[in-house]
Amino acid sequence: MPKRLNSLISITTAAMALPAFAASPPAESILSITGSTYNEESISPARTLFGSTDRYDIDIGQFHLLTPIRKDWSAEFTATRESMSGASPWGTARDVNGDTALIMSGATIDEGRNAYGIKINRYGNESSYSVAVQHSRENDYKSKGLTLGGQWNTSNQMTTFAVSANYSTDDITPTDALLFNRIAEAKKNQRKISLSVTQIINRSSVIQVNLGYANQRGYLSDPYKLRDVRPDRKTQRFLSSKYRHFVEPWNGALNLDYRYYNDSFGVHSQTFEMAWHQNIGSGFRVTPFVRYYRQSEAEFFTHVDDFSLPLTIAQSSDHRLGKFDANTYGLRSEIKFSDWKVRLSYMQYDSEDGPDSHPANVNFSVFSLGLEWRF
Amino acid sequence: MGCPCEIILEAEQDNLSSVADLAIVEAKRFEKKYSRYREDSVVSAINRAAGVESVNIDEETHLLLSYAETCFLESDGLFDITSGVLRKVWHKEMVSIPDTEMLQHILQTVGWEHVDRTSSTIFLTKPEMEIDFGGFGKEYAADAMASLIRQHGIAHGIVNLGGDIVVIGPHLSGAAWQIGITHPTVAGDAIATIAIKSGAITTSGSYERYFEVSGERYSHLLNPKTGRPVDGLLSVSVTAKHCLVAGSLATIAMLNDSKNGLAWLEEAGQPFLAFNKHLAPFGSLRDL
Repeated sequence: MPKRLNSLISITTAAMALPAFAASPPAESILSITGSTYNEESISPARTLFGSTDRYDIDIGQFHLLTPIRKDWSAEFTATRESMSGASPWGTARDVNGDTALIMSGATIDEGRNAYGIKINRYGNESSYSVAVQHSRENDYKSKGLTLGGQWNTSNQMTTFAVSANYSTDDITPTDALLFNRIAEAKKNQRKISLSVTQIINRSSVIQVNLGYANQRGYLSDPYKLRDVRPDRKTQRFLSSKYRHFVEPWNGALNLDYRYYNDSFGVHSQTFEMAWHQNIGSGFRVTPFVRYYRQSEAEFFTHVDDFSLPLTIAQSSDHRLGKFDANTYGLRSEIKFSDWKVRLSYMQYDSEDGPDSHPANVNFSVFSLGLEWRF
Repeated sequence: MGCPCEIILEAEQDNLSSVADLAIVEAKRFEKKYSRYREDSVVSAINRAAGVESVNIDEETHLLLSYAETCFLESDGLFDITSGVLRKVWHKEMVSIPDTEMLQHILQTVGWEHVDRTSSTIFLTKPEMEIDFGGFGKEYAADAMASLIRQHGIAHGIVNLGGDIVVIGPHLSGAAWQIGITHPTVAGDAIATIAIKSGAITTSGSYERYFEVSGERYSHLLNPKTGRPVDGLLSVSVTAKHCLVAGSLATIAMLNDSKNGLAWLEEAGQPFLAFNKHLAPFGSLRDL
């Protein structure tokens, strides 16, 4: 008989695909490739004082491979390539009518980002552990990270506890630092821990609660803005919950998600998401979803940059630190034939727009197409 | 299920009998859907259409067939859910063993390679071909019942479908269940007792799985390549987290000759207890 170390894995994997084992450990190898295009709408010329009104377009390519190694181990590789082009806001000022207007970067910026990750998982009887490293590189930004994770099931398989801890360190080297009087070199680091509990309520419902805490230190400002001074420490807390309910007669599932976030900059935010997964036949699934997001502004947020303030006083006109709300809606779909899956999704994100809102509040769409192969 | 079945549950709450009923409903649903003895089952519909046309199947059936295919590939073709037609010539009432010509003829309708399938259809390309889920259906049903019981918050008990046993969790007191392993030759006797707190154990090849013709003893397990009853290990018990996996490992071991069967079990790495024809024990459970 030929040597075959993998029989147990193959048989277990095929068994785990069966409905009676809905949530169990390892898998066969899964390889997926996804291409996405992210497009931000242009900024209104009426609210731009200077610079290009074309905002970011990003083309994203992602590669993911998950493969079992030996009996109780698996490895995961991810690679991401992004090409960005467009202009970004440099700052804000008052226009002739006294309204806030944007100062945009003049020329289109073209840049790329490459990211890689490796994760090793070890599966035990009622637990699993993982170690992952991440690396990301742009011409002006480098990031390295390490994540440790653990997951434990209770012996009745009804409850799962998970813990994850991450440390990352970033090096920032802005381009044209001398020319534009930007900081030449800066660093920041982050520690993050999250805890989650997943509880199976009954045959058709599951709930998950997540608690997270992160702490950042270092240069947290945006080096490309004309004036952006943020504290060099930030703590973040979040609480999120997910509820899944399978509706058997309709062969579909309702997903309800809620997330609360706050940080020491004074930003509080809430996210509500509702999605309906509809299975059609055995190989087709469509998922329409809507998401509502709102946040409060940071304590040092300013609508108009104040260049008269000393550099020791925190201020930022970054729209992402302002008060706004946003709606997202979209549709995800998935078609499966034998070992292949094709995923197609579209989403549109619209943030608050109006005379009182920040002129840089962004609207964007993301279209993505993915192919997955199990073997 | 065509076998004695028992569910023993222990808990402080009082919904035990309704949960047990739900598990029984699940077992009946499974049997109704996949029994080859029922005219209205999915398996019968597939078999009736053999050589004629393809039949539409749902996702659960597709996944079960994929599972069977994995076992076929991993066992080098010994675990084959199309081999059931061989029972037409090997059975208790036969007077003499079938001749080579008859076997050659019937073997033409055996072989997973003659099955055409997609994720939503299956076609048995040769007339008279048949599939059946007898080789793993009971084990899977036991897992499905145990999973359903756990989903209702019950953590102590066992499901036993004719020797395919899933231990949901230890006794309420925390003590392990003492599971007897059927004696390979003596009806109603246990050759060993194993303490299990959680997981599954199955035994393939107990005494009732044999029949005698003209003084010769034949296994009811048939080799799909030779068309003849297998002549390997006498019985194999395997423990694993899931009954389905334990059962398939045990069955594939039994389908091999003794030497390869033991090698297969060693390689799979799950605890097992096997007996050869001379009742010599092998495996890591031997020392318990």
